[in-house]
Amino acid sequence: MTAQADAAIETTTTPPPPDQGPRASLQVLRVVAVLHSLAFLAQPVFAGGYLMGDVDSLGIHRINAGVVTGLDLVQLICAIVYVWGGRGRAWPIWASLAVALAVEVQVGMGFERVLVVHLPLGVALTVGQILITLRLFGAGAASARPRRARRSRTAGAR
Amino acid sequence: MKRRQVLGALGLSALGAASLGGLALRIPRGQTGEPVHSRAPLPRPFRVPLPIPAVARPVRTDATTDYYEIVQREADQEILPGLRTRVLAYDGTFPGPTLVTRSGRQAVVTHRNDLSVPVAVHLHGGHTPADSDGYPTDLIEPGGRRDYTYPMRQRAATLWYHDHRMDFTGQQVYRGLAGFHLVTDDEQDALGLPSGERDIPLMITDRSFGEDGSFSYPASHHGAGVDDAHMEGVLGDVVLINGAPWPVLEVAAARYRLRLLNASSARRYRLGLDPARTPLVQIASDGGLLEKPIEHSTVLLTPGERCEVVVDFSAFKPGTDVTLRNGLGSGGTADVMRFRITGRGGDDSRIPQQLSRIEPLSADRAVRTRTWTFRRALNDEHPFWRLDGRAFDPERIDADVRLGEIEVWRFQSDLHHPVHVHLDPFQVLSRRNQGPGPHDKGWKDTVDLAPSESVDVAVRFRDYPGRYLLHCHNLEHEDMAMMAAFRTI
Repeated sequence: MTAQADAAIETTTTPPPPDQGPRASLQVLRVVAVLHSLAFLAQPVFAGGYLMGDVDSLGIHRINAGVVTGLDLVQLICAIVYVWGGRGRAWPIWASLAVALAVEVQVGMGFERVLVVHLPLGVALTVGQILITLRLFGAGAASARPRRARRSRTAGAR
Repeated sequence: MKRRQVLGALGLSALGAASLGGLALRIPRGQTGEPVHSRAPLPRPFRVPLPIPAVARPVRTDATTDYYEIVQREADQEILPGLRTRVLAYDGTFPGPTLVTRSGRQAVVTHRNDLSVPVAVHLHGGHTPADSDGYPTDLIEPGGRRDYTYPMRQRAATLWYHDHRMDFTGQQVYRGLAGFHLVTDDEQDALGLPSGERDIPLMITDRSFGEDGSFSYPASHHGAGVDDAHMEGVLGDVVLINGAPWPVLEVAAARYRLRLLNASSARRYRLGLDPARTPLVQIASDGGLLEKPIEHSTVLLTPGERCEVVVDFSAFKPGTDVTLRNGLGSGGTADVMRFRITGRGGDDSRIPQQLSRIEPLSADRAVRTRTWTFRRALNDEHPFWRLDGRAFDPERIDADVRLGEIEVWRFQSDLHHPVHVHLDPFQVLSRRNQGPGPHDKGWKDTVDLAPSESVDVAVRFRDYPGRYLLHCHNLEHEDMAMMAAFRTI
């Protein structure tokens, strides 16, 4: 059953059984999170190439920053689908949003060569994204969020 | 299930990181430079004999001075077997003729320019009055001539002369305008170091060749400097020693003095002998003899630097090959040249444990500290290199320095920058706030800066007031404005 179909059932017909957790939306989110992690891991490699004296590596570092930024948005959208459509837990939205906002700061710091911020923030972001990814592979991510929480959040959004 | 998934995610991350690391290993090691690939068929290494540049003879001498004449002209030279390479050359040969002059005895070298381009001749390591130092705008136009006066008030050392024309140094040196200038003196003659045929100058350059054997220099479309893609510096894929690709030299089983010069545009070398454990005993640096010999397993040579070593081949049987290799190269650039031991020969040379005395330039006596920062220009339309954030302006003086005063100059880098100072050698005080490195001893005029490095040197200029240069000796960086002028007063 697809995420869209899940969503359709939830809004138009009877509520689904409470033990039905997100499936397709979670798999998509996991793939995106892994790709996103790899893009993060690549950044210090390219920065290291530059610090070894290779100017072209800095250009690749900049291009890959664009890839990271793009995947920020993709991961956020996937997280929203996972939470709203797949009835997953809400934390991936907030985590992905935090990563996306921090990356904006990170890119600005990089262009301005404020390395005392850029380096530690880069380390923190990479660690954070990997932790998000690992948690998405945990059993908790596959179970539906509690019914009460789901209803109150849905109501809040309206 | 959960553990397996976590392990899977971890494994995937590790795999990704490892493959990215593998990608990073493709970056040329220890270089700031961009490779140019030859299209010509390249010879197998260690086939051609090592050429030794001819020693120039004075056209006349008088009581105080030896006079030399050099004609700069184009010539066709067989560098790759079976192909002709058009060179710009001193007296029509690349490298140019070797000048051997005596400390304390003035040399006047008249250069005639029969090339189609302006030139400027700089004696690298020369203690030279400003009007003979080859300022980059102080040109000999095509058809012109000029006398360069070298008083030679300096100790014995391995110097070299090369083109220094503004914006065109990289390509004109690449095409052949470089030669040795050896200064001799009584102190060095008295030591008993290997001499004559066992005193070998080795000019190391890297070049790339087009299909027809021509030099492949990636000049910019408007002529001056290098194209944007090679602003890092031009790396060739053929190592030439004295203009010959990976040559071989037949040597007796005896001690040899090798005068190593890195005349490459941008390439750094870490030279070592194979079989390993053949030591390179350093006896001299840019500015002549060290106080004591230093035994190295490898020597690092940055563009513009010289290092003189004595190698003892006496332990090898005749017929043995000893190969000089480059630890910072890959593929063809990992090989440099080969020595083939032919037979026993008498050897009365020696390496004294005390070579010379060097007066230390103490930082305590320094009157001031200046910082010179070598960095890439940021956010410009075209890539450029900057010294202290400024592009070189030949009309601007960036510092006034009093003759005779000691100053500490702190060089800072973003990437690899070989820093060269004209007029007088300096002494390295510290590197990254630690002591001098193993290759920093003695009098230096060119010092290697690794990425994000800081090197403190003590300078003291003498004798000649005027306008001089300090610059990055990566010739593409130099052409792209990483140069400053100082005035001695």
